[in-house]
Amino acid sequence: MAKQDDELEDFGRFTEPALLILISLADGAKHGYAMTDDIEQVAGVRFGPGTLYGAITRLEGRGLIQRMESEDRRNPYRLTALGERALRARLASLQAVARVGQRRLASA
Amino acid sequence: MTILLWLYPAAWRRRYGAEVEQMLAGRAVSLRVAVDLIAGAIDTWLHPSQTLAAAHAAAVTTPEERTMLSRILRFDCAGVYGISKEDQKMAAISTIGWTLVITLAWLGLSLRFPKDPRVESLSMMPFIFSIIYSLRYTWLKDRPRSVQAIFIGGLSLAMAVFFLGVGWIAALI
Repeated sequence: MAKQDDELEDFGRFTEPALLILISLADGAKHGYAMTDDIEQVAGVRFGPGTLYGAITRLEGRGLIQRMESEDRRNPYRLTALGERALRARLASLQAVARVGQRRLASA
Repeated sequence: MTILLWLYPAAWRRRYGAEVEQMLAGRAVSLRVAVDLIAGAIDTWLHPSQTLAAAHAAAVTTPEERTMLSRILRFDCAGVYGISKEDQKMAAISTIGWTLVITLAWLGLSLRFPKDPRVESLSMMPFIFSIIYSLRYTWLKDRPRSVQAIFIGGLSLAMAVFFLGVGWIAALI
């Protein structure tokens, strides 16, 4: 992976949930429940609250997402500029890998 | 189901507890969610510098300070929960010391009862107990002695019973 991917590098088993959360927040702020629904629609996986908040705490701790204050108990989260850069870098890296895979499959 | 949130550290609960409770309110009770919450709680205790960085940073005022603090916590450069170098040293000495002492005791037992599966099943206990005991110098250091005794004793006993149970089953097979 490229150097700019470092922000998600040591997330361990939370790497995929974290990436999907960043993707979910790319089109606007969402609270936890809305993220879960959105990720299920986009990727077909439904994260449990332990996994979802394990990833959210890491993302928030790294400054990749930010909690917005809310009147009710469901605080929405939004991407920060750092999070957006990390997401762009990770997606570019994945695209590059996918291109290589497709090229090799085509020439096989 | 929300009772499982008590397994999480207090700082985490203050930051995320209400949100997760809200999420759980709209869900049916399921084993999958319970296991997921328990695994999440274990992870939060095991990786406090990663999982509690936001909770600590929330107490700080400016975004610059928050980013700086989260990065410091991320690389464990700060004493999270006030754990000093001296505490870390004591935890390391205690872990090594107790591991040696209990391993010797276990070796004595295994010489006295050779090839007994119940004795063999306890082979991991010296290290496990030592790790649990060392928590009194780190995560449990500000807790009352009674809480330390209950946590260390209870968890060690539970682990010993578990391993003995495995050994007992192995002896029956």
